[in-house]
Amino acid sequence: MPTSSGCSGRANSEGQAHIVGQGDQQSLQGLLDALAEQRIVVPLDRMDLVLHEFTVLQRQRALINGIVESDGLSGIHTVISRSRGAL
Amino acid sequence: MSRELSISEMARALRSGAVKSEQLVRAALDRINACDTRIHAFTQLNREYALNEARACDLRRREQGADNLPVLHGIPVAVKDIYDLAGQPTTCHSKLRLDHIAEQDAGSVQRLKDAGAIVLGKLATHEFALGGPSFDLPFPPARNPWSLRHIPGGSSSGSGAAVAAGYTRLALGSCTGGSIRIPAAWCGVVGLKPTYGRVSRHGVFPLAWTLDHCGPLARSVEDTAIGLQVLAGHDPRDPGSADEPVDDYCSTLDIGVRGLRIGVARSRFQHLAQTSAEFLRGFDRASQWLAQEQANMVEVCLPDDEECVAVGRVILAAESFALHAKDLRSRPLDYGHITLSRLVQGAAVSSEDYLNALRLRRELAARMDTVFERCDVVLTAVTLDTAPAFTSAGTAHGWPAQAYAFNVTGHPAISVPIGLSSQGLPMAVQIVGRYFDEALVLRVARAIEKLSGWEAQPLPELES
Repeated sequence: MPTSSGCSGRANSEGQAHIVGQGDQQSLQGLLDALAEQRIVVPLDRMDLVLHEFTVLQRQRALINGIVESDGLSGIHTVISRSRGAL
Repeated sequence: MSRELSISEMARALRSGAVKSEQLVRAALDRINACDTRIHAFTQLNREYALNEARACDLRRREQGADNLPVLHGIPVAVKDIYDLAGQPTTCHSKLRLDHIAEQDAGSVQRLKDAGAIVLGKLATHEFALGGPSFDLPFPPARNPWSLRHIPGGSSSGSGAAVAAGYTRLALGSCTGGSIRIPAAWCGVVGLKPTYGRVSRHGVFPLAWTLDHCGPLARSVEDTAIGLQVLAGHDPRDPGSADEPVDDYCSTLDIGVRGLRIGVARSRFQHLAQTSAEFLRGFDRASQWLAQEQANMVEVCLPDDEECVAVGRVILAAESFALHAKDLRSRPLDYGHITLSRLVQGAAVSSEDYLNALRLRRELAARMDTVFERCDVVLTAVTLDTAPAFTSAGTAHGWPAQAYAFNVTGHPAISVPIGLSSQGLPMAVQIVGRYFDEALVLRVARAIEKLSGWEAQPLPELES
């Protein structure tokens, strides 16, 4: 069964190039390395949707980290308050 | 007959002896038999159990009298197949869980049973309440009773479809990013995501602990209020459960909206390409109805939806990965295509990403609280267009909807129908309230329901 880096520990860079931009390549490799480190095997025939999801999540991570850095939110306490029921 | 009665009408008819529980359950089962080979709302139907329970309810009523029986006594309901029902599988619509048998009822199921409800069975969901619709799972996806070619929304797809099809007046759903309100909106039923912590999640398979909410989908706002009255309350077995007083949700339903300050969040979606002109006209009509009833309409600006969705998705990726990592390692091919593609994303979310998402969430929740300094509730969109067809539905991420924000902030939010589109598909709006102010959210939703005339809307006629 053909698999992603879960088996090989390396991405198929040929396959990635037309799906994500060059700037995302390093991060995508990070996802594939993380999957390999977690010993998670994703069949190649399922990688199309994995890559699509990945590009969306990458943008969202960048958005959040950018806001937290620029707005100085990094000191915000993160413990969930149960008495309020919410956050 | 029974499916046209509201829950309170059923209860009155049962008390007076005009109808028996067995009749109500048989009517529900007949309707399911006639329709569910096409709708696929149920993944598991407990016919004999339900009939036996109904007969037992009728016997109890004869022997003990009807005066002191609980509110749902002898009334059929159904639950999403992520809720535990003792002795039955909780499959989560997944191959991974086909052999799982629950040892005890979920906290919310127990509350329904304590109130006398008869649980007919389990309802379809997106796999693990995540992404869908999918055709590579052990059960087919539920379909929209208003048009079988269209999706019912999700992940509480079976709950929305079952209530819309008239199987039951009340079903349980769960909501991590819109999974109660979106199927409610697209199926033409009412769906309430209560305040985070309001309804127990004990015995409900989690997706993301700090985003998961449980709540009712029902045919009417009154049915929803009755359902919430039964479900609401502290459960120490759920670490996120809130020990807050429970209001009387039914007694204030029909007070109306005169004098209320209602924030209108039209600017949040009016410019988006996904927002249909027909929905926008429907939204404006709903706003005008409330204004005509002497509500004070105030324009408000809510926290940015893109930021809310980003926060929600990063938190969901991290928390759901922690839940599923073991099975992702050992049984990846047992997940459906969509579910697998989403769950593995968590492997690349760092602790910094997760903590920054939590920090920004706190900021977004505070911003939402500030909005409520100017208004009592907010009127906004939940879905921006009618249900997509199966052929163009894609995965839930691309849906025209704005429901995620209030899972992120934890505020209570309800979807209430406003009418049918020119294509005959339901449209809805969303009412959002302050923490634990479900009573006011329900009251405004009830006003919209009355003003829209939706309460007289007959059940959809199924295509053959």
